[in-house]
Amino acid sequence: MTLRSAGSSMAITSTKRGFLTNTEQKEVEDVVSFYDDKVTQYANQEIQTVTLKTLLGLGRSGSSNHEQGTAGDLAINLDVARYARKELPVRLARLIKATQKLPFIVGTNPYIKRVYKLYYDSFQSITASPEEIRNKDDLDRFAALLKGLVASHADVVPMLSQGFLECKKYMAKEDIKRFLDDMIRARIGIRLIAEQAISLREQRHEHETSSVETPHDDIVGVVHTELRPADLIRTCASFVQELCDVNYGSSPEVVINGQTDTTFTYVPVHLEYILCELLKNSVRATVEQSQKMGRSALNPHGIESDRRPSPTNYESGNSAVIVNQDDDQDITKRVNDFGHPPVEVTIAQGEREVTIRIRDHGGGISQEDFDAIFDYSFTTVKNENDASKDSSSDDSPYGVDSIFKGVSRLAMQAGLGGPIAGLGFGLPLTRIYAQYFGGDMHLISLQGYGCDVFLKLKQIDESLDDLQI
Amino acid sequence: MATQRLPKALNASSRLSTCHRPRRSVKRASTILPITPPNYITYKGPLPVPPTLSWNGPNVAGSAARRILDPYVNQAVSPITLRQLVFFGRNMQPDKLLKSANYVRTELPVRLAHRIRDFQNLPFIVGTNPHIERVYDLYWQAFERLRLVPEIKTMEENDRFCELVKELLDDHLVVIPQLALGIMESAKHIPPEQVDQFMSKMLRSRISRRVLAEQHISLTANYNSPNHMMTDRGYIGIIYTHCNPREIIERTALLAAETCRRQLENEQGLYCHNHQGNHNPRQNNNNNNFEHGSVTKNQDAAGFHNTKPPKVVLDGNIDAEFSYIPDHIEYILYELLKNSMRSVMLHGVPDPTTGELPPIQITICEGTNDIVFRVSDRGGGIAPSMEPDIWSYSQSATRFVNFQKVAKMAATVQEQMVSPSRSVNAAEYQDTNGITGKDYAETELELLRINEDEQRRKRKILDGSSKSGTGARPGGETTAAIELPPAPASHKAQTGDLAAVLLHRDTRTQQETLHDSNNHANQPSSASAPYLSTTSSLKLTSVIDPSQSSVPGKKAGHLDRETCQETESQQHQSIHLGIGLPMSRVYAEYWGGDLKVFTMHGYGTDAYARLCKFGNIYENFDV
Repeated sequence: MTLRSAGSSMAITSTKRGFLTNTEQKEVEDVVSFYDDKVTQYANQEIQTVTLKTLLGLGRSGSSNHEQGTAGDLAINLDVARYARKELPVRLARLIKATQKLPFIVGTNPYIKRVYKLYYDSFQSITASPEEIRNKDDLDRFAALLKGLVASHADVVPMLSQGFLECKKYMAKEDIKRFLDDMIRARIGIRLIAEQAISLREQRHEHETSSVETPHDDIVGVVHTELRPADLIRTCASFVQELCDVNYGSSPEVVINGQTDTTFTYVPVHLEYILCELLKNSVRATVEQSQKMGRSALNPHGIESDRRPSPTNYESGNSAVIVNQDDDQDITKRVNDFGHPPVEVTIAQGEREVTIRIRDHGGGISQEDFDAIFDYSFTTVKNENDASKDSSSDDSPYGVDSIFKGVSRLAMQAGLGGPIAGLGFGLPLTRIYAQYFGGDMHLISLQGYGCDVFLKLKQIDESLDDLQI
Repeated sequence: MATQRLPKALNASSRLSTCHRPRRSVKRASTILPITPPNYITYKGPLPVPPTLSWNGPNVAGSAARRILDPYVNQAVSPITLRQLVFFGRNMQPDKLLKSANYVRTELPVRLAHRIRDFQNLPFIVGTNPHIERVYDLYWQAFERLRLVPEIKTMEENDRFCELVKELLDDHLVVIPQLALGIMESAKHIPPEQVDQFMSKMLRSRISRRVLAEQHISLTANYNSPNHMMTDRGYIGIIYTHCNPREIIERTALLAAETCRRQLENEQGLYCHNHQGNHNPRQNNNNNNFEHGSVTKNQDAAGFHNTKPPKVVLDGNIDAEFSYIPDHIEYILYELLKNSMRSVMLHGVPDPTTGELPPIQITICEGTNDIVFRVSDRGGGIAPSMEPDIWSYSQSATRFVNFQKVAKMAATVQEQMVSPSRSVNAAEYQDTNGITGKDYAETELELLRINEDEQRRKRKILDGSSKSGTGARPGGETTAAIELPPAPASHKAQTGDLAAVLLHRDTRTQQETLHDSNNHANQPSSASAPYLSTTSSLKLTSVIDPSQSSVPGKKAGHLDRETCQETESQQHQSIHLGIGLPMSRVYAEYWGGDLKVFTMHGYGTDAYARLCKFGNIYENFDV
């Protein structure tokens, strides 16, 4: 009922607005909402913030209390789904409203418009779905709907970046930054809720169909309660190294040290995205620096090596000062067969947080560029085809298909362009992800040497009470 | 006639000042040491102020004083760059020296006036704090005396002017301790941000004034030294144009290790002492672990067994060369290394096979415009509860409590070097080197008290290293951790204290000099003259009153050399003042660099000191 009325009103307005001049506009012809008050109506509703505890706590009791059986799981799953059904339209409506407030010229950009259409469609399809989720069948149907929506949103960020690249002269830089920051933060919240609903259902499904105990006791929806950063780093590193091999023909090693047996509670997809971005930057910088300096296995310091003094190690008195040029002794400096010094990743388990430090020998960032690294600079995304074609959803182990891959691949490819080309959307986005659960990210550039990135992540369960999604 | 002009000016100054308030013998102020009541925190009554300092508020704030101050406050400061100082200081000629003198003469009152106004803008209640008031008075005195100096036209006038500036520099050594105490006591009356801003401004301005003053004094001294053509070798005033990271770190690492070991031993002693139950607990409440590590000091100290400090490993562009004021960079690195060593010694996990503590890694990175020192330790990091406060002057009520034991602070590394016999040896030293005894007598350095055993042990080290140091370095290679210039070291082996290490920081200069002269034994003065002449005025006194903690009940009052020597054997004092990190950052930022600290709690801390390489950035006053 709702669906039909909305559709008809759209058809009318679209003809009135005369958007049918070329094919791209045809694509978005039904994205009109001037006479549609439903968005406003929803957008005016208060957002019901939910603590992660609610999402996670509900999920946890479901998957850990096996004696309760599937009935308990189902109840919890239903709760989350009902929350999602109620909350998602409100949040989507707010995003839509925000987009509507962009300058008209920006809104008419095909990319921005496509994003707008995606949100609008998602909003329509959720509000069109039955409001009541009473049983398993309703649940399955709703989950399928959400899954479809999540998949269709995989490329929102690349599209936004391309859109604002084209529109940047029409809007103040700070306004763009604010809009994108808000947009991306809201998007993370929406995805978390949707994905939690989806993955809980899938876990329950697995649980029902397999007689053996679920092997993922520590996975609660999208949250992993015993996430081992070292493992994730290893996975991301090999992914990034492979990318680097493809692009450059060689790649540096990634050395993981510190408290490698640390586990903590976090959303693995977030951490995966952050790590991939950061490692990608480090790996690429290292390789490019090697090329620039002529570093090779035989000549580990490149063209400057003849200027360097030979190693002198000495000790004296009760304090020893060692001049350490003998890099072979130090695994964090030993170059590999291609002459690339390794990227060092150090994990530290603190009282309230886990810190991951990524150090590279990639030459650092020059002072002029450094000030802009957290800006959304749009130069990295080369063409939209890369963006829109990468929507195939690989099944990640966490039941969430990855929007992230599209972004990271894009940036890597775009990174071939120049030394800072990779810093386009990656770093600001990475920082938003890092900050989402109360963490933070700092980047220090040692010009001529390398970069150190400090990634500070709160244990999610440590700060559950304050975390409102 | 020329010699008469200045005294007249000074007379005028005193005459003028007597309009406001009675004052006696300002010139003798430097000899009067502060009176610090033993139980200051509980002490509610008025602070006994030395008679010479009864330069009190109401008059100063009067309209006459305001009329005097306002024109200066309205005048903008003329900032300089390090490079300008270097260029100006080359090939010193009398006319240039006079120009320099007049710049200092006109610039210092302006800079002082701005700070005086800052004091005046503090909440009234804060202004009445005796410590703050005392600094305020000192600033007024300095302002008055400097602004009344007429234009300097002759070298004699310049010499007198230098004397005046030196005297003021010396008077102002009490500024940091007094400010710190004053701010600590006023914490509840001013919001923390305002405190931090005020302190940053004060400290930055203080550095800037000292740099101007010391540079000029040093240029004058160099010019006046009989062989000043020989003395240039890299030093231009207080600036050294061949600062080398490797040399600097070698020097500071040894010192920092020594300080740390001493501090920890000292705390252990206090800990045991405390457990016997006859020690005033307040005196232990001195925030020793403020910057690194865990919460309760005594537990830390109890858990500390390994007295061998961690190694320091250098990599990166260790042989970079740049112009800087060695005092500044040494102070920064010393503080960072001290913090790192301390946390490694307390919390570092020894290597299971070798039993060695994890080393401190210092990476030097030379960029196009800057040079970065990354000091990376594995000492467990800073606890999250501490982390927000590491830069703050006001967060902790007891942070600066140890300043009660420190009368004077120049905030240089030299003042950390101490020996009880320093003053004696210093006199000897000066004699052999032809330095005027008066200058050097001011350089008594009393922060660490090293007992005879220590000295003997260290002498061995120094002797050993001086042997390798005597060999000419092939191609500038350093072959020993600490190099002593051969002539003074062999000459003065019995001096045997760490100060000697720092005293000869320009080893290259020394070596070159030796190269030039075959018979170096006969020319120690030419070798050490550049250094001593530059530092004689800088080596400022830093006196700790150990009697407060070591001799409870003893009345802490006048501190003079006798007291120090009396108490030196009772207890080794090495005091954590809690101002290291903020002060280091002020130093780093002064010439346009910065200092950042990132910690990985549970693992370690990385500090990044970035310094501008070319010295082409103006002095940084902005907060």
